[in-house]
Amino acid sequence: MIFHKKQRIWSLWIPITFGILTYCIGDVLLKMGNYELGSTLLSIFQSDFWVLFVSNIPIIAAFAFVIASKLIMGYVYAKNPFGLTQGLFLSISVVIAFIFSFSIFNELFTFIDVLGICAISLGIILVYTSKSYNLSREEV
Amino acid sequence: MFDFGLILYLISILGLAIVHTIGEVIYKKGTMPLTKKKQNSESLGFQKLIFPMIVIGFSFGISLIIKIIYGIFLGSNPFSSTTALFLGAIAIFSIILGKIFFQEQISSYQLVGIILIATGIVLVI
Repeated sequence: MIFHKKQRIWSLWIPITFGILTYCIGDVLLKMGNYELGSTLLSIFQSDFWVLFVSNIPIIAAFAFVIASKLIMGYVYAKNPFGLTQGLFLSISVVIAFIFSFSIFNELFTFIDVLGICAISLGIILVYTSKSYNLSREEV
Repeated sequence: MFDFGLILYLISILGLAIVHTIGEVIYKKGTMPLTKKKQNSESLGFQKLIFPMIVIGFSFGISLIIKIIYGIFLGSNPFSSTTALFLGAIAIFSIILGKIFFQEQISSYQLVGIILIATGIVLVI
Protein backbone atom coordinates (compact mmCIF):
# COMPACT_ATOMS: atom_id res chain seq x y z
CA MET A 1 0.00 0.00 0.00
CA ILE A 2 1.66 3.26 -1.11
CA PHE A 3 0.81 6.53 0.70
CA HIS A 4 1.48 10.02 -0.58
CA LYS A 5 2.97 12.32 2.05
CA LYS A 6 -0.04 14.64 2.42
CA GLN A 7 -2.47 11.73 2.42
CA ARG A 8 -0.35 10.03 5.09
CA ILE A 9 -0.44 13.09 7.36
CA TRP A 10 -4.22 13.36 7.19
CA SER A 11 -5.02 9.64 7.18
CA LEU A 12 -2.48 8.57 9.81
CA TRP A 13 -0.41 11.01 11.82
CA ILE A 14 -2.92 13.71 12.75
CA PRO A 15 -5.83 11.42 13.65
CA ILE A 16 -3.62 8.96 15.52
CA THR A 17 -2.18 11.79 17.65
CA PHE A 18 -5.68 12.81 18.70
CA GLY A 19 -6.64 9.17 19.22
CA ILE A 20 -3.70 8.57 21.56
CA LEU A 21 -4.28 11.72 23.60
CA THR A 22 -7.99 11.05 24.06
CA TYR A 23 -7.26 7.42 25.00
CA CYS A 24 -4.67 8.31 27.64
CA ILE A 25 -6.74 11.11 29.16
CA GLY A 26 -9.69 8.72 29.29
CA ASP A 27 -7.59 6.16 31.18
CA VAL A 28 -6.44 8.76 33.68
CA LEU A 29 -10.05 9.79 34.37
CA LEU A 30 -11.08 6.13 34.60
CA LYS A 31 -8.46 5.48 37.26
CA MET A 32 -9.47 8.60 39.18
CA GLY A 33 -13.13 7.63 39.12
CA ASN A 34 -12.59 3.99 40.13
CA TYR A 35 -10.16 4.97 42.89
CA GLU A 36 -12.74 7.42 44.23
CA LEU A 37 -15.40 4.67 44.27
CA GLY A 38 -13.05 2.04 45.70
CA SER A 39 -14.07 -0.33 42.90
CA THR A 40 -13.34 -4.06 43.12
CA LEU A 41 -14.36 -6.99 40.91
CA LEU A 42 -16.95 -8.02 43.49
CA SER A 43 -18.53 -4.54 43.28
CA ILE A 44 -19.88 -5.45 39.83
CA PHE A 45 -22.46 -7.67 41.52
CA GLN A 46 -23.79 -4.86 43.76
CA SER A 47 -26.56 -2.62 42.46
CA ASP A 48 -25.42 0.30 44.66
CA PHE A 49 -22.07 0.27 42.90
CA TRP A 50 -23.67 0.80 39.48
CA VAL A 51 -25.72 3.76 40.70
CA LEU A 52 -22.54 5.41 41.96
CA PHE A 53 -20.61 4.30 38.86
CA VAL A 54 -22.93 5.93 36.31
CA SER A 55 -23.20 9.13 38.33
CA ASN A 56 -19.45 9.54 38.89
CA ILE A 57 -18.25 12.54 36.86
CA PRO A 58 -14.67 11.38 36.11
CA ILE A 59 -16.06 8.05 34.86
CA ILE A 60 -18.66 9.76 32.64
CA ALA A 61 -15.90 11.98 31.23
CA ALA A 62 -13.63 8.94 30.83
CA PHE A 63 -16.17 7.12 28.68
CA ALA A 64 -16.73 10.24 26.58
CA PHE A 65 -13.01 10.26 25.85
CA VAL A 66 -13.05 6.49 25.22
CA ILE A 67 -15.84 6.87 22.64
CA ALA A 68 -14.00 9.76 20.97
CA SER A 69 -10.78 7.72 20.85
CA LYS A 70 -12.67 4.73 19.44
CA LEU A 71 -14.23 6.79 16.64
CA ILE A 72 -10.92 8.38 15.70
CA MET A 73 -9.02 5.08 15.76
CA GLY A 74 -11.76 3.38 13.74
CA TYR A 75 -11.08 5.84 10.94
CA VAL A 76 -7.32 5.28 11.24
CA TYR A 77 -7.64 1.45 11.24
CA ALA A 78 -9.84 1.48 8.16
CA LYS A 79 -7.44 3.69 6.21
CA ASN A 80 -4.16 2.03 7.24
CA PRO A 81 -2.71 -1.43 7.89
CA PHE A 82 -4.14 -2.72 11.15
CA GLY A 83 -0.86 -3.85 12.68
CA LEU A 84 1.03 -0.70 11.81
CA THR A 85 -1.51 1.74 13.25
CA GLN A 86 -2.19 -0.41 16.28
CA GLY A 87 1.55 -0.54 16.99
CA LEU A 88 2.05 3.20 16.77
CA PHE A 89 -0.97 3.72 18.97
CA LEU A 90 0.18 1.25 21.62
CA SER A 91 3.86 2.18 21.81
CA ILE A 92 3.21 5.90 22.16
CA SER A 93 0.36 5.26 24.63
CA VAL A 94 2.69 3.22 26.88
CA VAL A 95 5.18 6.09 26.98
CA ILE A 96 2.49 8.69 27.67
CA ALA A 97 0.97 6.47 30.39
CA PHE A 98 4.40 6.28 32.02
CA ILE A 99 4.68 10.08 31.94
CA PHE A 100 1.15 10.53 33.31
CA SER A 101 1.67 8.01 36.13
CA PHE A 102 4.78 9.88 37.25
CA SER A 103 3.38 13.41 36.86
CA ILE A 104 -0.28 12.93 37.85
CA PHE A 105 -0.32 9.97 40.24
CA ASN A 106 3.18 10.42 41.69
CA GLU A 107 3.91 6.72 41.27
CA LEU A 108 7.40 5.63 42.19
CA PHE A 109 9.40 3.26 40.04
CA THR A 110 12.20 0.83 40.64
CA PHE A 111 14.93 0.35 38.06
CA ILE A 112 13.36 -3.01 37.12
CA ASP A 113 9.98 -1.31 36.45
CA VAL A 114 11.60 1.27 34.18
CA LEU A 115 13.53 -1.48 32.38
CA GLY A 116 10.33 -3.46 31.92
CA ILE A 117 8.40 -0.49 30.52
CA CYS A 118 11.30 0.33 28.17
CA ALA A 119 11.36 -3.30 26.99
CA ILE A 120 7.60 -3.23 26.33
CA SER A 121 7.81 0.08 24.41
CA LEU A 122 10.82 -1.07 22.45
CA GLY A 123 9.18 -4.40 21.72
CA ILE A 124 6.05 -2.69 20.43
CA ILE A 125 8.11 -0.34 18.24
CA LEU A 126 10.12 -3.29 16.91
CA VAL A 127 6.97 -5.26 16.20
CA TYR A 128 5.54 -2.40 14.17
CA THR A 129 8.54 -0.83 12.37
CA SER A 130 8.31 -0.38 8.63
CA LYS A 131 10.89 -3.15 8.19
CA SER A 132 8.55 -5.51 9.98
CA TYR A 133 6.04 -4.88 7.23
CA ASN A 134 8.58 -4.64 4.39
CA LEU A 135 7.33 -1.13 3.63
CA SER A 136 9.58 1.38 1.89
CA ARG A 137 10.28 4.90 3.19
CA GLU A 138 7.85 6.22 0.60
CA GLU A 139 5.08 4.11 1.97
CA VAL A 140 5.23 5.09 5.66
CA MET B 1 5.54 -20.07 46.71
CA PHE B 2 3.23 -18.71 43.98
CA ASP B 3 1.48 -15.42 44.55
CA PHE B 4 -2.01 -16.35 43.39
CA GLY B 5 -3.20 -12.75 43.53
CA LEU B 6 -0.47 -11.73 41.11
CA ILE B 7 -1.18 -14.70 38.81
CA LEU B 8 -4.90 -13.86 38.84
CA TYR B 9 -4.10 -10.21 38.07
CA LEU B 10 -1.84 -11.23 35.16
CA ILE B 11 -4.33 -13.72 33.71
CA SER B 12 -7.14 -11.15 34.04
CA ILE B 13 -5.18 -8.44 32.23
CA LEU B 14 -4.15 -10.88 29.46
CA GLY B 15 -7.74 -12.04 29.14
CA LEU B 16 -8.97 -8.47 28.86
CA ALA B 17 -6.31 -7.75 26.24
CA ILE B 18 -7.24 -10.65 24.00
CA VAL B 19 -10.97 -9.86 24.13
CA HIS B 20 -10.19 -6.19 23.46
CA THR B 21 -8.10 -7.12 20.42
CA ILE B 22 -10.87 -9.34 19.07
CA GLY B 23 -13.18 -6.34 19.45
CA GLU B 24 -10.75 -4.18 17.44
CA VAL B 25 -10.61 -6.78 14.65
CA ILE B 26 -14.42 -6.82 14.52
CA TYR B 27 -14.43 -3.01 14.45
CA LYS B 28 -12.01 -2.90 11.52
CA LYS B 29 -14.09 -5.45 9.64
CA GLY B 30 -17.15 -3.31 10.30
CA THR B 31 -15.67 0.02 9.21
CA MET B 32 -13.97 -1.24 6.04
CA PRO B 33 -17.14 -1.20 3.86
CA LEU B 34 -17.97 2.31 5.09
CA THR B 35 -14.63 3.85 4.12
CA LYS B 36 -14.16 2.24 0.72
CA LYS B 37 -13.97 4.77 -2.10
CA LYS B 38 -17.12 5.01 -4.18
CA GLN B 39 -16.75 3.61 -7.68
CA ASN B 40 -18.76 5.09 -10.57
CA SER B 41 -20.89 7.20 -8.18
CA GLU B 42 -22.10 4.02 -6.52
CA SER B 43 -23.76 4.65 -3.16
CA LEU B 44 -23.71 2.11 -0.36
CA GLY B 45 -27.46 1.99 0.11
CA PHE B 46 -29.27 1.63 3.41
CA GLN B 47 -29.40 -2.17 3.33
CA LYS B 48 -25.62 -2.43 2.87
CA LEU B 49 -25.09 -0.11 5.85
CA ILE B 50 -27.09 -2.22 8.31
CA PHE B 51 -24.61 -5.06 8.70
CA PRO B 52 -21.54 -2.83 9.22
CA MET B 53 -23.47 -0.77 11.77
CA ILE B 54 -24.46 -3.89 13.69
CA VAL B 55 -20.86 -5.09 13.63
CA ILE B 56 -19.61 -1.70 14.83
CA GLY B 57 -22.24 -1.64 17.58
CA PHE B 58 -21.21 -5.11 18.72
CA SER B 59 -17.57 -4.04 18.79
CA PHE B 60 -18.49 -0.98 20.85
CA GLY B 61 -20.32 -3.22 23.31
CA ILE B 62 -17.29 -5.45 23.75
CA SER B 63 -15.05 -2.42 24.23
CA LEU B 64 -17.41 -0.94 26.81
CA ILE B 65 -17.46 -4.09 28.93
CA ILE B 66 -13.68 -4.49 28.70
CA LYS B 67 -13.19 -0.86 29.61
CA ILE B 68 -15.37 -1.14 32.72
CA ILE B 69 -13.47 -4.19 33.99
CA TYR B 70 -10.11 -2.68 33.01
CA GLY B 71 -11.04 0.50 34.89
CA ILE B 72 -11.63 -1.54 38.05
CA PHE B 73 -8.13 -3.03 37.77
CA LEU B 74 -6.72 0.41 37.01
CA GLY B 75 -8.33 1.94 40.09
CA SER B 76 -6.58 -0.39 42.51
CA ASN B 77 -3.24 -0.97 40.77
CA PRO B 78 -0.35 1.22 39.57
CA PHE B 79 -1.32 3.15 36.42
CA SER B 80 1.90 2.66 34.45
CA SER B 81 2.35 -1.08 35.04
CA THR B 82 -1.33 -1.93 34.43
CA THR B 83 -1.40 0.15 31.24
CA ALA B 84 1.94 -1.25 30.05
CA LEU B 85 0.81 -4.83 30.71
CA PHE B 86 -2.53 -4.31 28.99
CA LEU B 87 -1.13 -2.51 25.95
CA GLY B 88 1.86 -4.84 25.64
CA ALA B 89 -0.46 -7.85 25.62
CA ILE B 90 -2.66 -6.14 23.01
CA ALA B 91 0.42 -5.70 20.80
CA ILE B 92 1.20 -9.40 20.95
CA PHE B 93 -2.37 -10.48 20.32
CA SER B 94 -2.88 -7.94 17.50
CA ILE B 95 0.07 -9.44 15.61
CA ILE B 96 -1.31 -12.93 16.05
CA LEU B 97 -4.88 -11.90 15.11
CA GLY B 98 -3.59 -9.73 12.24
CA LYS B 99 -2.00 -12.90 10.85
CA ILE B 100 -5.15 -14.96 11.34
CA PHE B 101 -7.83 -12.50 10.11
CA PHE B 102 -5.98 -10.22 7.69
CA GLN B 103 -3.22 -12.57 6.48
CA GLU B 104 -0.50 -10.15 7.60
CA GLN B 105 3.00 -11.62 7.60
CA ILE B 106 4.96 -12.10 10.83
CA SER B 107 8.63 -11.18 10.35
CA SER B 108 11.73 -11.86 12.46
CA TYR B 109 11.63 -8.24 13.73
CA GLN B 110 8.15 -8.88 15.05
CA LEU B 111 9.18 -12.11 16.75
CA VAL B 112 12.02 -10.30 18.52
CA GLY B 113 9.58 -7.56 19.45
CA ILE B 114 7.14 -10.07 20.92
CA ILE B 115 9.95 -11.61 23.01
CA LEU B 116 10.93 -8.12 24.25
CA ILE B 117 7.33 -7.34 25.20
CA ALA B 118 7.01 -10.64 27.07
CA THR B 119 10.30 -9.91 28.88
CA GLY B 120 9.04 -6.45 29.76
CA ILE B 121 5.81 -7.89 31.15
CA VAL B 122 7.78 -10.28 33.38
CA LEU B 123 10.00 -7.43 34.63
CA VAL B 124 7.05 -5.13 35.36
CA ILE B 125 5.25 -7.84 37.33
